[in-house]
Order: sequence, then C-alpha cells, then structure tokens
Amino acid sequence: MHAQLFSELLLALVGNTGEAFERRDRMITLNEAVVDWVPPPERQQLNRLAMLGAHYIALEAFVAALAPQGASVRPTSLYRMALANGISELLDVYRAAVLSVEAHLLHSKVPPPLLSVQQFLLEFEALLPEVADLVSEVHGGDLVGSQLMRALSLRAQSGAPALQSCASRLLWHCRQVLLKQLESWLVHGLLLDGAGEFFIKRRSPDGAAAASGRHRPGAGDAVSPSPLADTRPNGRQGAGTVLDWEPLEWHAGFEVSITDLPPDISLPTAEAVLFIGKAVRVLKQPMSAAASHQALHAHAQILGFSQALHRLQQQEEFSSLHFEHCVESMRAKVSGLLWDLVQHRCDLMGQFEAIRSYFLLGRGDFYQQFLDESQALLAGVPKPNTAEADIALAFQQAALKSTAEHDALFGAGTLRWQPADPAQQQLEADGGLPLWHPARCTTAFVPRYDAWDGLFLECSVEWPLQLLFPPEVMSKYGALWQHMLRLRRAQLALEGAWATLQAFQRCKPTDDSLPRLPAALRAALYQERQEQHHFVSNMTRYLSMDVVESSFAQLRSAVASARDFSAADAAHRLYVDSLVSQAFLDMRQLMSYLEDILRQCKELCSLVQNLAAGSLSVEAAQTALTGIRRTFRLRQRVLYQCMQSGKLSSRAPALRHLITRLNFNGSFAAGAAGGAAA
Amino acid sequence: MPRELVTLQVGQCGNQVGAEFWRKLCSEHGINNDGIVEEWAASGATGDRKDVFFYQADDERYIPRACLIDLEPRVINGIQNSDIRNLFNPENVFLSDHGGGAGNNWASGYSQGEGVQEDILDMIDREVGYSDSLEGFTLCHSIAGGTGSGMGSWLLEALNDRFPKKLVQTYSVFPNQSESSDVVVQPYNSLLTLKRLTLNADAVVVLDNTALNRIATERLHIANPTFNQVNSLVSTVMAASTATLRYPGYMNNDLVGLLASLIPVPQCHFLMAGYTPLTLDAAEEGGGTRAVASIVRKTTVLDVMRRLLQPKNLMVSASARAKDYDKSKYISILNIIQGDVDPTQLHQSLMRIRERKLANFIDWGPASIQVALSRKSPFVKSAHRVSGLMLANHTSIRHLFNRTLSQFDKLFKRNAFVDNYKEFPMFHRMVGAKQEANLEEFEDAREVVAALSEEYAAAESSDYIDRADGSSADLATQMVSQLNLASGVGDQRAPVRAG
Repeated sequence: MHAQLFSELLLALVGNTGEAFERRDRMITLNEAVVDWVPPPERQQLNRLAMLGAHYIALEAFVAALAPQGASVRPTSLYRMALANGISELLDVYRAAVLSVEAHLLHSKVPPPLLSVQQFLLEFEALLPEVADLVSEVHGGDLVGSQLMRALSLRAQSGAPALQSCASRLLWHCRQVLLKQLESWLVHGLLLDGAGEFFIKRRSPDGAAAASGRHRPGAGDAVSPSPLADTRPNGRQGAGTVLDWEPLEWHAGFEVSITDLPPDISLPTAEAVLFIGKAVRVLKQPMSAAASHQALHAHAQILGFSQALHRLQQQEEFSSLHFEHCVESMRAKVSGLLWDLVQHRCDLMGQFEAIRSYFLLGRGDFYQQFLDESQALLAGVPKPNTAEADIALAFQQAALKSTAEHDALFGAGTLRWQPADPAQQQLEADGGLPLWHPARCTTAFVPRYDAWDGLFLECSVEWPLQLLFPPEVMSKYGALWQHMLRLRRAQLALEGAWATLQAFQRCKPTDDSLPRLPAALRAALYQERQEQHHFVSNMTRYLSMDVVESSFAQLRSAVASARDFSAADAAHRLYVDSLVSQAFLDMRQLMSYLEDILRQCKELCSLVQNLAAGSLSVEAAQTALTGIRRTFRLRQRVLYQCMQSGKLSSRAPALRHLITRLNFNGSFAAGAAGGAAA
Repeated sequence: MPRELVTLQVGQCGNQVGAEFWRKLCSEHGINNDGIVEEWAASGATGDRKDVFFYQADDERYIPRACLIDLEPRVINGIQNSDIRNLFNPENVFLSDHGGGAGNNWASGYSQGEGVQEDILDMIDREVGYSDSLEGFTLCHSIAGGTGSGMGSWLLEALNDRFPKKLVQTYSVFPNQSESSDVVVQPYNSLLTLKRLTLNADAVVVLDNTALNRIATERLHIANPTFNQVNSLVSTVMAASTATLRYPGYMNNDLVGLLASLIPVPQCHFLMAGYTPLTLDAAEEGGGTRAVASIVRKTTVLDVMRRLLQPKNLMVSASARAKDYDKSKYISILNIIQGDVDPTQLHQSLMRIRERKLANFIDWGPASIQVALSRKSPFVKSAHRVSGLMLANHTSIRHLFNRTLSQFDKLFKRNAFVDNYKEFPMFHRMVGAKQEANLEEFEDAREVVAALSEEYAAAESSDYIDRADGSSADLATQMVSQLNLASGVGDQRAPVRAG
C-alpha cells in the first residue's frame, strides 16, 4: 500500500478528494482509472472508508449552511442551529480521529495495513452514516423544532451504545434551546421563538374565525375582523418579543400547539407552562407594580425560576419527572402570586356579587325599575336604529332610581341590543359578535320571548379581575342573564295583568274607563293567570334561591378557602357551569317546552291588556283564553312528564328542587295525571 | 322614586299603630326622630330603599309619605308632642274642627268624611304629587270604632273613585269579639266597614285584637298588655310585610309582586299574619327576666317556617280558626324571612313541611309556600338570627266574618241602637217632611259579608273552579241577583261571580 494513497485517503476522509478518490453523487470512491493496482477486496475497504468523507462533506455543508450569516429570508430554526452545533462538535471529534490516524501513519515506518486505519475510524463508520441520514431526513422532511427532537429521541433509543450516546448528545444540544426558550417564557414571559418552533404560540388573530370554520387566505395580510387584531403584532414574526399586555391576551392570546410539543413533555405540563408564562406576563405588568413590596416579592420569586431551570440545564440526562416537578412548583408559586395580586388589587367577592346583582338579577329592585322604565319600549317592536340607545337610556335611568345608584360596579355593565334574527346572527357569529356574547355559548338554549330577545349585557371587568372572567364564562353569564330576564319579564307582565284584573274587579258600573266583563270570564282569567304566575314565579324563585343563592354560598366559601389563583378560577368555573346546568339551559327539549309556556303567558297578558283597552270582544277573549289554557296545560303536562322521566336522572337533585316548588300542593302532578287520563 | 306607597292612618287606633310603624321604619333605616339620617347610617350603600315610604325635603330630611287623619285631637296631639313630633309633614295632619270625634258611630265617621272630603283629598293629592310612580295606598285603622271604620270606609270608596288603578292595602285591626266591649255598636261598625274592605280594597291584613291580646298575655307573659305593647306587635307585622320593598332582593320588590301571588281569587283578599319569634322591645324591657327566659332562641329556617304555621303565632283569634279547622285550607302563603339564612336549607324546609303535611292547601289550583328572603336592617340589633313573617290566605278566616255576622244579627234583630245611625243621611230617607229609617245599607253590607264568607267556604271544596266555570245558575248567581234587586243598581262590584 502506497503512503501516498494513505494521504489521499486522509484528505478524502475530511472531504477533499484528490486524484485517487473521486466524488460522484454524494459518494466518494476510489478512482479506478488512476488507482488500478489495488486488489478488489482492499478497494472495497477503501471505498467504505471513503464514504465517511462523503458523509463528512454532507454534514459540513449542513453546519456551514446554518452558520450565522446576516439577515436571511426565513428566520433560522434554532433547533437546527443547535443540531448543527452538536454535529460540528461531532465533526471535531471525527477530525481529531482522522488526525490521530495521520499521526499513526507518520509514526509507523511501513505503511500499516488498511485494517488498522479502519480500526481507528470504526466508531464513525457507524455514526456518520446515521447522522448523515438524520441530516438528510431533516433536510428532506424540513424538520424543525419538536419534529427534529422527536427524530433525535427516536435515535437516542437505539441499541448501539455509540449511536445512542451520540443522539443523546445531539438531543441535549437541542434541549438547551428548549430550555432557553422555556426560561425566556417562564421567567420573562417572552416568546424567544423566531422560527415558530416553541410549543407555546401566540394564537393567530384569526383564530376565532378559523374556529368557526372560515378559512382566511394569506394570514397576516388582510385586516382581521377580530377585536383582537387591532393591537396585536401579527402572527409568527417577532411573536411576543415585546411585553405588551392586552385585555384579552390572558384568555385568547396564547395556546399550546400540540404538534409542536417536544417529546417527553406531556400536555398537562405544557398547559402548566402556558399558565405560568401568561401569569408572569400579568405579574410583570406595570399595572401590577402598584403594590411595590408585593411586586418585588413576585419578581424575586420569578427570578428564582431561572435557577431551577439552570439546574435542569446542567443535567446531562433529561428527566421528565424532574421537569414536571419543577414546572408544577413554579405553577403553584405563580398561581399564589397571581392570587395575591387579585386579592390585593381588588375586591373579588365584590365583583362576584356585582355579577350576581346584574347578570343573575340579584338586584331585583333595579330590574323592577328598569322593566318599569322600559315597559312602553319593550311592548313595541324595536327600531333597529334607535333600539339600543333607547333601551340603554332606560337602563341608566333605572340605576338612578334604585339601589344601583350607590353601586360603584354598576357602571361596568352596559345593556346592548342586536337584532336577534338567526340568519343575521349566524353571519355575525363569524366575525362581529364578541367572544363573550351569549350566542357564543353553544351549549345553552335560552327560550325565546319576544322581539327584544337581542338584548344582552356587556360587562367590562376591571384589571386584573379579567383573568377570572374569560369570554367563555362571560358568555354563559350572558345566557343566564337572558334567560332570567325573560322569565322576570313574563312574571312582571303576569303581575301587571293581576293589577289590571283588580281594576276590572273594582270598577264601578258608572265608570266607563274599562269595558264590562262577564264575571265568569273574569274568574277564568284570574284562574289562568294564577296558574301561569305560579309556574313562572316558582321558576324564578327556584332559580334565584335554590340555584343562584345556594351555589353562590358555595362559591363564597370556595373562594374564601382558595390559596391560589387556579383554585379560585376552578371554583368560579364550576359555579357558572352548575348554574347553567341547574337552570337546565343545556337541555334543548325542556327549554323548548318552557318557551311555549312563556309564549302562553305573554298571550294571556296581551289578552288582558286588549280587554282593558276595549280592543277585544268578550267572545273573542273567551275563545282565545280557551286556546291559551289548553296549550298551557298541555305544555305544562309534557314538561312535568319530561321532568319525571328517567332520562334526566342525572339532574335529579335540581329537578327535585324545582318540582317541590311547582308541585307543592300536588296540583302540578294532578294536572299532568288528569291530562293523561283525558 | 319608584313604586311609592302612601300611608293613611285614620282614627285613634290607626294613628297609634301608624306612629309605631314609622318609629320602627326610622330605626331600621337609621333615621332619627327629626327625619335626618344618622351619621352611622349615612355611609355609602346600605342597599336599602327609603324612597318607597319616605321622600326627601329640601333640607334632606326624610319625610314619611303619611297622612294622619282623625276626628278628635287626642292621639295626634300626643304624636305631635312626642319625640317624633318633627318627623311628619305638619300639612299632612287632618283634625276635625270641632274635635269631637265620631262617637264610635260608623255613620258619623262616614258622613264627616264626606263633609271634609275636599280637605282630605287635597291632602292626599298633594302627597301623591310627591311621588313618581305611585303604586298605591296603605290604610291603617280599626274597624270597630267610629273614625277608623266610618271615615276609613268613606276613604276606601273615595280612593277607589279617584285612583281606580292604584292598589289599596289595609292593615285592619279587628275588635276583640270574645269579651264584651264598651263599644256596643261594634258589630254594626265592623260589618259596615267589612263591606268596604271587601269591595274597595285589594288586600286586607287582618289583625285581630283578640289574638293580639292573647299573644301578649300568653306568649309574651304580659298580664295586662297596654295599647303600646299591642301596637308594637302590629307595627312589627307592618314593618316585616314591607321588608322586601325596603330591603330589595330578587323579587317581591313591589306591592303587586307581593299581593299577586297571595290573592288568586279577587274576593278572597283577607290575609292572616303570623310572626316569629315573638318578642317585643317592650316585653324585654318591661316583662323582666321571666319573659326573656321563656323565649326559645333557636331559629333555623325550618323552625321559623314551622312556627309560622302554628296557630298560636297567628294574629287572628284561635276561636275563629278552631271551628272546622281540618276542613279549612290555605289558598296561598307568603313567608318573608329576614336575617341570616342559608339558602340551601330552604328546599329542605319546604320538603319537610310538605312531608309532614303541616300546611293544608287548596286542591283546585296550584299553591305553595312562597318564600322571600330579605335582609335585616343592619342598625337594629336583635338576638335572633332569623325572623319570619307569614302572610296567609286561609279559608278559616270566614269564621271571623261569621262571628261578626251573628253578633250583628243579634243586635239588628232587636233594632238595637239603630237610632244612632238614623240621624245620618245614609240611613234615612225623607218621606214627605218626615225622616224614616232606611236600613238597606245594613242589609246590603250583611249580604256582601255573607257572600264573602260563602266564597271562602266554597274555596275549601275541590270543585270550586268547576262551580265558577259552570254557567248554570248556582248559589252565587242567585245571590247576586238578589243583591242587585236589593241595592237598586246593578252593582258589578259584588264579591260573587255570576254569569
């Protein structure tokens, strides 16, 4: 074997082909035309060794391509850069091995057998092809971020020890990036993620629209209709590098991208990471700084996170158990800090009480006043252009004349109106309706009442309490409000009908202001009114006492015993969900019966009004009343049977409460039984 | 200024009770005797509504929406010389010029009312003018004497004429029927007033002096209860029954809301009141340790609701309720529970009462115990966590009317004391130049009250509604035709339903 051939080989091993070796199609082979004296077995061996050179070239190219170089068109993948670092580390080792081969050659007088050279590079014969394979996979599949890590961790499970340790090392490099990103997010609340590889992402502004099934072409170039769009720096580029906090960010700003979840980080942990980062963003707000000692304490705690992460970083082997433990302890700390902030800054219970007062109609005198003020307005058909302003005026007026006058939190609520036309609503649901609109709450079926069903309550919650009132919760409150307001309107209308009937009753024969009614019709009207009023008022009583008041007592004690934010948040969500479920708003069938019943109530009330106005003849009234009574009884019976049926057994406790009230003297059940027999 | 109520207190009893009521309201709202909100009560949102019963004068003083009316000066002068002399608007005091009272004669009170109607209606009009959306009137009076019954009756009719769309609620003190009274014509006065209460009031809270005295002696252990002590019971009921108007909650925040569910049948609008725990400020001061020791302090919602259903806590005499008690039924019940209530106990209590059949309800329509929770005044210290008021529409109240009727019959059969009435225009007619007694008014009133009692009796049977629906001539129709003949005009106000 010629010494010259050896030096050619050494050069070829680090990718430089001379005369003896030639490069063809990513292969380096012995040039048979030049070196024709090598016997075939040796030639094969040489070719095998020379392949290392080819892999070296490929890897080198990969590393070189990722070397930092000015502004590139596309932000470079940090994970690839980390991989490149790892590979160049590997290549260093490889080069050192080649050098040691050279040293060996120089030292030996006679050229050593090829096998001994091969023995030096044996390890790399296994490694380089694998790594080159990986690199081409990365290139070919355009792997970045978590995919890259997955590809690596797959190889890190290899049985070959060399391969396994090499892949682990490369994985370690990538993980350094992950940990850096985590640190940036967890400690500073910033997304350090130019190429969009981190598993936490800013939710794209058109996320809401995309969720409703509409595809928006060319993200980032059109003006988004979402309310989030205006202030939000768009999309992936430069995502979240600036700490600019917006009201809706907490609820809609960030999300965990499942596809970008690195191996050995579970989804719950990722969610916890998301929570911590968001919380840190909140805590770092200048607004939070008002309580300086508290803020300092918070900052010190948060900075402590980076030490924990550094410790993780130093570990050679990644332990997901350790990581999870670390994240959980951070979450607990941050949650506690957030809770301190919420408690310190604001009267949380006061806010819950305000929500109960206005969304759940707890401030009865205010709503009484409001419905009084707006009675004439609500009796008519809303005029699209002025309806909202008119009704909002009545809302404000009512506040001045009721106990809401002294309530500082009243101002947070605004009464809004939008036409309740379903077609239009569908159209608006795509873009126009805010996230907290009751129509967004797809699980609640609020019985319709009249043309004013488009009323809804808007509430601006003070910072940082917004954290506890995400849009999906507000939309449930909105649905409850609509439901309870409609019931209340029916109840008040029936009470008004009673007053009108009383006037009929006491009306003197000499008085012409009211038409004469036969006593039998009057009695029948009284009777029907009583039945309907009993139903509606017991429904409202059930909702306010058995549902709202009881659940609120639970919420109060849960919040009082809560030590951190997450617990309070969970208690609040539980409260709202239990309200919706105990109001049976999620049961379409039941609600549709209720809707029919409310319609009968409305018809009875307008019947009484028309009689009082003299615009209805006695005969017509009698016929109409018979119809109303029949439908009302029928619906009530069906409702009762529906409540009694086993299908609703999951709601048994709540239903029992309601039935106790409705059927206190057994007439509800008797009506149902009698009707069934008839 | 919403849903205001104007209180009219007429006669000796009415003014005594009324004064107590206003005293109570002032202490609950932290208003001092001069109508000024105490400093400790002025801070921020106490969540109460003073504007239903008070209006504010230019100098921020709270003035009760009340008219004090009497035909003799003793009681009103007493108020004007008492510690609350500055509370009321002096323009709202009416005293007759002669100051001679009505001599326990209904007819005198009634005709004196007619005589001074301009003064009184002016006063009421002015008071009504102070309110934004007046809901109605509250009348407190007794039905046995002369002024409260006679002038009160006239006032009920006058209010009906002048404010046909406004509600009229009365707190009517019924006389002690069990012992002989110094007012011998008490049955006449009662019956004549009952007719107006039936025809011209939307709701009557019946406060029976027999029961009030019994409660004072038996429950509060006061051997000889004074007027003040009994009045304090009445004012407690009045204040509690208006609690949801003054300390608003989810509902029952106006009078219609309170009454609409209580009165399903318009004629049957006589409500019994019960209150627990029964203690009086007076009892605790004067009754000594014995009275205090005898008071049970356990007040859960169930305890309160159960005690409210016990006859001994009702302010209508037991004798009226003992008869046929098993047959009598509740048409409706409203419990106003004040204080520190765990809402989760509510359902449990309702269930328990239902299981043990503690309340016997009508079966011709839906009925239930309606419970309204209301806050307690933060300014009144009470040893009780929870207190409750029951307003109940119970058919046994007819026995009270029957007793009045039988006492009336006893007198009327003998034409006793009729001469006292004959002097007044309503009870005589001129035949030529000669006055002749015309006692149709008595007979008419008797018919009305008898029909009322019948109506309550009918409500006890389960075919009550079918009876009303049937077009065939039934008892009620026959009676109304008689009535029409008797009164000469087709009186549509008759408390019976006819086809």
